[in-house]
Amino acid sequence: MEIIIDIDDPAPLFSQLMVQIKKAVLCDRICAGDALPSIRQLANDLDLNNKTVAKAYRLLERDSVIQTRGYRGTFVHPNAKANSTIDLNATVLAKLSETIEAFRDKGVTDSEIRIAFGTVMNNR
Amino acid sequence: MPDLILIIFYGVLISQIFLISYYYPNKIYQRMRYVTETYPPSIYPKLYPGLSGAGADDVARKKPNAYRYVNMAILIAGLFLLFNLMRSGFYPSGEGEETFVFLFALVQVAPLIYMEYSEFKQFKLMRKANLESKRVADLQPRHFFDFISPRVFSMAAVLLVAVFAFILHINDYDLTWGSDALISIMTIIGVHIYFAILVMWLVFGKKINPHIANKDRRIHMTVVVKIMVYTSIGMSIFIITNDVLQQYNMDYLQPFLMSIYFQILIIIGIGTMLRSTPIENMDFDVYKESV
Repeated sequence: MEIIIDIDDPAPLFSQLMVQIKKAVLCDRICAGDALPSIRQLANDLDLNNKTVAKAYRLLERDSVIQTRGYRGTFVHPNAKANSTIDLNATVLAKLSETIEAFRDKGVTDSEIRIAFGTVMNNR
Repeated sequence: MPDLILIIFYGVLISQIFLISYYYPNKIYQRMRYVTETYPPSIYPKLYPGLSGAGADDVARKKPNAYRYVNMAILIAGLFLLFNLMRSGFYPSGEGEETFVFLFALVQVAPLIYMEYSEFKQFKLMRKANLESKRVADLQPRHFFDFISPRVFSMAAVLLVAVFAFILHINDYDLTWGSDALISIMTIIGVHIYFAILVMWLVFGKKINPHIANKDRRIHMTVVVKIMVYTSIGMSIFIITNDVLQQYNMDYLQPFLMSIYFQILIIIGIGTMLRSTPIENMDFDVYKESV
């Protein structure tokens, strides 16, 4: 199973990597429990910085598409297929837009929303 | 009995000259000719960085000739030396003739070493000329034991420990600074560290050839790892046998052993490479301009 990234593509490299791995899961080219290459191996093969691959892996782990099992390596998550269909970014954006619209309807200004958002995020 | 030793000595030398300077060079030459004729620069430009324009196909086709001529010259020199040895009534007496065998074997493998060096230079040019924006990687993890059976590796490891024990035993466990045992053990460790670095670099490092298909890359890795492990086994057996010959005052057999050792190394190295990577099975489409 091969993945292809395009360095001239406007999409960020980590994002291309995430999309490729999710596509591989959805097309059953990699299945739950399958081992994935180490960060260093993938970075060397694609001639990318280790940090780029590490970021893609971290976000895929956050989305429960992959899971890291300590020194044993990285594997495809048991629920990877279901989780690959959800675009967390889009979900977060939709939810936020909905909330912001509701605040505006109630007369809250944008700067008040920004301050409130910052306060909530900082208090987490 | 002495006549038998003489026959063995010359027989092994003749075998060394033909195997390293004729048989394998001829196979490699045929392989190079096949590649340059079947995959010329005009259709597969990525395979020949720095070679373009009219006449590039002819230049590429003539390149393997230099390798052939050098080997032919070494073959003739070897036969000339052999003829002179026979004429002078030379008899192996265990007084350093193995050095002669070793030095001649080094001369014989020099074209091979130069060819490897040229190959690395070519890969460097390929990487420099590679303007492809798309990069491909295999999503399959690579582990050392994907390329060699644990049993063979264990055998190499056990033999290595046996060599250390053997060296220590015949040197009365003398590991003082500058002792024979320490020098031998340090040399063997050094060679194995070199092997380990080479394998790590090849298996886990960056792609040396930027265009190679993943399938071919894996095959290449398997071949190199096998060659390294088998060479380690061969080296251990050679060291033990060589020391046994010395212990039993059979030094006159050392040139014979040295020659056999070199021939086995070549059969392991070049033979495995030629056998495991048939040129017809390799993916050369990756070197086309359109890909």
